[in-house]
Amino acid sequence: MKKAALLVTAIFFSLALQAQSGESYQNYMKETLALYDSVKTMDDYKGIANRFDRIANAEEKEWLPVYYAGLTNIYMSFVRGLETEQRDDYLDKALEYVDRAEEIAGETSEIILLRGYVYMAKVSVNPAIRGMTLSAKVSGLFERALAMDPQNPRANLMVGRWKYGSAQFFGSSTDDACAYMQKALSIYKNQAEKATIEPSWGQNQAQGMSEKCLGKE
Amino acid sequence: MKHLIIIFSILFAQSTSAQHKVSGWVNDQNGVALVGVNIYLQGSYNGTTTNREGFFQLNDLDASDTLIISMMGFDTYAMVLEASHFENHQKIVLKEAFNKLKAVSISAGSIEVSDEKQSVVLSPLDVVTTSGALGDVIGALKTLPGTASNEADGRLFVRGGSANETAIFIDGLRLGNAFGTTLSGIPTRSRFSPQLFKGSFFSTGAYSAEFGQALSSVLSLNSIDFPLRRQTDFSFMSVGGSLSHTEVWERQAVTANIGYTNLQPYMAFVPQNIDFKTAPHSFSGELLFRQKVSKHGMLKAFYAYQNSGLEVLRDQIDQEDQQRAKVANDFHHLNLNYRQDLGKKHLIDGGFSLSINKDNIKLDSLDIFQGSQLYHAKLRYQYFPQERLRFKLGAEGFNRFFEESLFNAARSNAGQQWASFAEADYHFNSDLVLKGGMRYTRYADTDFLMPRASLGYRLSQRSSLSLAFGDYVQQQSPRVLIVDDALRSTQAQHYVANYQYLQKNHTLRIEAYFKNYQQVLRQNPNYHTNGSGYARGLDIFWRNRGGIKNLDYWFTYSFIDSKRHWRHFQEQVQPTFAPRHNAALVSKYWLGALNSQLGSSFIVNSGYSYDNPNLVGEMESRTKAFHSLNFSWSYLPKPNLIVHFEITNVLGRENVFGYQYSSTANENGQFNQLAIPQAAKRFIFLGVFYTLSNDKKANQLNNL
Repeated sequence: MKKAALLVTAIFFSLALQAQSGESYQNYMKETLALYDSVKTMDDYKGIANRFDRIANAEEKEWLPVYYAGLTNIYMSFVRGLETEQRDDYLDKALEYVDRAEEIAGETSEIILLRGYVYMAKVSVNPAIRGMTLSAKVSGLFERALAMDPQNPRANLMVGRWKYGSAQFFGSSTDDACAYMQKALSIYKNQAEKATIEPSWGQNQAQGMSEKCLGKE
Repeated sequence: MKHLIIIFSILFAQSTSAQHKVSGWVNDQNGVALVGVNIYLQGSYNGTTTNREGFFQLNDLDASDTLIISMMGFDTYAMVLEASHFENHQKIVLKEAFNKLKAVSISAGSIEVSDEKQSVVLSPLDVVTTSGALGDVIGALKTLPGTASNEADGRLFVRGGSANETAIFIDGLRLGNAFGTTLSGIPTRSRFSPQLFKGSFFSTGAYSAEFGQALSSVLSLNSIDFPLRRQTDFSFMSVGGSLSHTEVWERQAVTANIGYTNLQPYMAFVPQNIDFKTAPHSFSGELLFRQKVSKHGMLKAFYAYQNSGLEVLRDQIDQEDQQRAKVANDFHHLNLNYRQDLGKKHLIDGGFSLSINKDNIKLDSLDIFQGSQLYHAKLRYQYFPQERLRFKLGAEGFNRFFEESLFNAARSNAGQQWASFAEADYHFNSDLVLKGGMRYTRYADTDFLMPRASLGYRLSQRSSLSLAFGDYVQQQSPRVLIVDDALRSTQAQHYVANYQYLQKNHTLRIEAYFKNYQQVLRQNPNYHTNGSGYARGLDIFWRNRGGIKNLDYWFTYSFIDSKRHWRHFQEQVQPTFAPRHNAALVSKYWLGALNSQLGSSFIVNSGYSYDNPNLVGEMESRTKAFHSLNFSWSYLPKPNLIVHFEITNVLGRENVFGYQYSSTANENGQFNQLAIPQAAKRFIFLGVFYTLSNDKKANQLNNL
């Protein structure tokens, strides 16, 4: 009887320890996500990317840490003052993370969208040369992400952003693009303030783009 | 009680208090502090990032813990902690990681057309937008170093080699009769639209052991992998039109394409130097199928059909009457290719291709039929034990058949070839790469063993040097073998030295080469293979993109010194297709205000050699210099609409490609001559290309 009680206690403790590790995963992710709000320099981004990389290596079955590590590398490629080659290095690193995320979670709307975002950033590194060759890939990925989940606000935002850019380039109407931005914004507003570690970025971009749209009218 | 202790000690082993800390600096091999290095306890979240000075401190550590030190671009370092690590500041040096994409590559003799690297000479888009190329893959390649322009022919001539010394491959499989059949003096085109390909590899010499039966050059085209979306493409052109549709499913994709061209209406407006009875016309159909197999496998199937023809009345030397010449061509090509990644270190691919070509030629009342078939099967295995080492092994077989009937007498010739190849390349470091290979081939009871080797060495951050050599063999053409099956193959050796300088906006390539030919075909009047020849020269390529805003231009100059003891000539002569000096200046300017790209190209050479029987010597004469100034204007009013206008030879220069002479002298002891002119002074092209893509989401959005 005594032995049985001990065993139960032991099992209980080990379960508790596991639960604790699960909880600390959530906490550590939240803590790291919160760091985005205070980013000022490239070094801050590096710290965040490193944190996600560490979580990713410790939690091999979670797709979110690799997803965010990829996203952070995209952000880093946008930091001012970088050489073309350095920007490509960050984006190639981002692609590695996207591949890893896809290995874990498959081709989901969010992951396909992130891949599209990497290629969009690649275009921005050298629009004259890459614009014409990569743009079909970018819009193809964004549209696929949107088709897989029409309620994904980031997919609406990116399809809208891409269309906005090309409408401006060709001097045509941005109405179609702005409709996507509006839709993105309304989805963001409906799901606001959810304290989750699932992807939730993009609202500020959608806000900004929508204002641009309104300003034009 | 014992059990209790054991259980608890196991449980709490994980949480024993780790009290130690490690601190120190991380530098690269040159002693420069590394900022942003990730330092963490293996398998845990416990970690930190180096600061501006490359300094870090990590707490809660224990002896025998493993510390991981990682940074993009450097080899990850694992450090098993010992008590001594906790006492002093550590000095950690990270080694720069080997990165194949950044390491030196071998550029001797090879020109890659792709988007993947910044260093590429040409992108796939350049192929479509080069003025004067008229949307032909070969047209754009003719502005690259090492090539000679032969506008009366239309095919690719590389470094003093004849057009049939260039082999063309699609997805690694040989394409037979890559060019449409035409009559002499009327230029031909490659059969396929550049839109079917995502990139290509063009070698002007000393190429890999993977390829054979090409004495001068290899053009390897890679078809698009998996189309991104459902779309329909229309084109309306001054010379015809085409319709293409792509359907994409989860794991399959199909593209069907039909095209029709007919120059009849065009020729009614634009005068021609040749009297066409039936204008060049062609019908073509292409079908592409893609199937993803498991996670890392892909099956590609490609079938193409083409039917074309033309008829002319042409002047003949020594004859009062004109000759009525007609050609009808029927062509099929099937290409099946399968590729499978086996983990990250192994790749296996292979396939089968079939080319069937039928030509019906009528010269006045003489009927000639020529038919050929080429089957090619190939299997290739690549092994990458580490990033810096690659092995490539393969085997292939060819089966060819050629038949000809003339005056109702038919004859034919067939043959098989077997070949295997092995190649290895190794990066000693980022600055030095060596590649060695061997090709073995057997046919007509003869064995050939052909070594190939190359080396790339980085001289500085921006410049590199590469050297390459190789042995090559090519069987005589079926049109000759049908007469004498026992003729030996022609052999060649290539030696290439290349210097390349790459900077953000500039590319400079300088390449010197030497080619030696043996067993070249001669005729006096029977065929022999006791001829010989050589080609040597220097190519210069300079490209600048964005140095002047929105302007992209390249300049090429190729010097070719080539002579051959061949055909019926008594001595070594300069072949007619190898002008000594060749240059091209290509520019593209993006005019944002008009949503337009303006392009121009100027192609010039020092004239074609020809044999004038009125003069002493052989091939002693040169035509006047060839030049052609071409303009193009591409207008993009919308992302899915392009209007393209192009005009060749704007200046209207009357280029001459050589002369024909009568076989007997006239009363003055002179041989009469007849010039071989351009088929037309200018070519004017207008096309509208429209893409309709799957924009269902836009409609759905409106319905919300």
